[in-house]
Amino acid sequence: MKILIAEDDRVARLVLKSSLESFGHEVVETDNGATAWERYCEDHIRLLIVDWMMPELDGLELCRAVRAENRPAYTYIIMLTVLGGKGCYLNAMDAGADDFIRKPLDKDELAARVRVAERILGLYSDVKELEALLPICSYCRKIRDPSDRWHEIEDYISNRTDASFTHGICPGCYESRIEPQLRHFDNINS
Amino acid sequence: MTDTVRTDIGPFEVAEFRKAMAEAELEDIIDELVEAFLEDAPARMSAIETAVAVTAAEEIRYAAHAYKSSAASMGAKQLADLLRQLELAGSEGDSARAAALLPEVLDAHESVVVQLTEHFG
Repeated sequence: MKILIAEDDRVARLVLKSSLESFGHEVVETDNGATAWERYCEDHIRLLIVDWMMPELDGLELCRAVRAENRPAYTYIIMLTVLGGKGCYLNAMDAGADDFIRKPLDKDELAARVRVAERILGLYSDVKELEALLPICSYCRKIRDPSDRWHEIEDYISNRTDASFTHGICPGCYESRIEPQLRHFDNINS
Repeated sequence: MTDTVRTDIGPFEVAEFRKAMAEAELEDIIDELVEAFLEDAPARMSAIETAVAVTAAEEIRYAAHAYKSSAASMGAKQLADLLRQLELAGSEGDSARAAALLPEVLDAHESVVVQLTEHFG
């Protein structure tokens, strides 16, 4: 996926960029918060990895700006920091950060954090898809997914949410479908 | 709050740096990393010296933090730890402690720069 990184230190940025590229991601690199904000506004990048202390616009300010933008597609923000302590953690969470990675970078930890980000962004997309208008066949009631495949409505929802189905009969269907059948059987038997 | 120099962190060694880069599968960018570090480190150190000289605590904090990121990324643990203490002194407004730490920071900085220049320059 495309990842926007904002890190003013050239050495740390190089390590971060190379690591992310080795995982197969496309990296857009910036060396300060203001440039990162410009690139974010120009592009549909959904994962940001930003340093805490940066010139012009620091990591917290960038987080707040992204959250204030409130794009329909969620943006996941990982703060990169050597700062520690509960106060820093709470400040970053209040500003809108989703996760943290401590510097110097541990490549395995970075890979794991990015996988979590991808998973959450994927789930968010699924939820948004469910919230949006779903194309449904007027006759058989199957639902079309973004890949143009048609699914039974129970399968479609079960595969994308924690919901499961129990089957019953609503009063309208009982009256229109079940009662005529019962009357038919009564007529046969009488 | 003050901090003491950690004696469990040894000085920078190029062999360890190479090993750490190999373990992180970043051998391909070693030369680029060293070049970036050697280009930026003198200015980073100079900013610290200036901030300490004029006893500007906030600038000491920021300059030490900025260099610490580079040093830590290069695996220069002793230098990074000294810079961490310098940053702490700056954040606490303790310019006297910052001035006392400066010679050690300079020594660690020189050691890293000399070794990297000898091996990669």
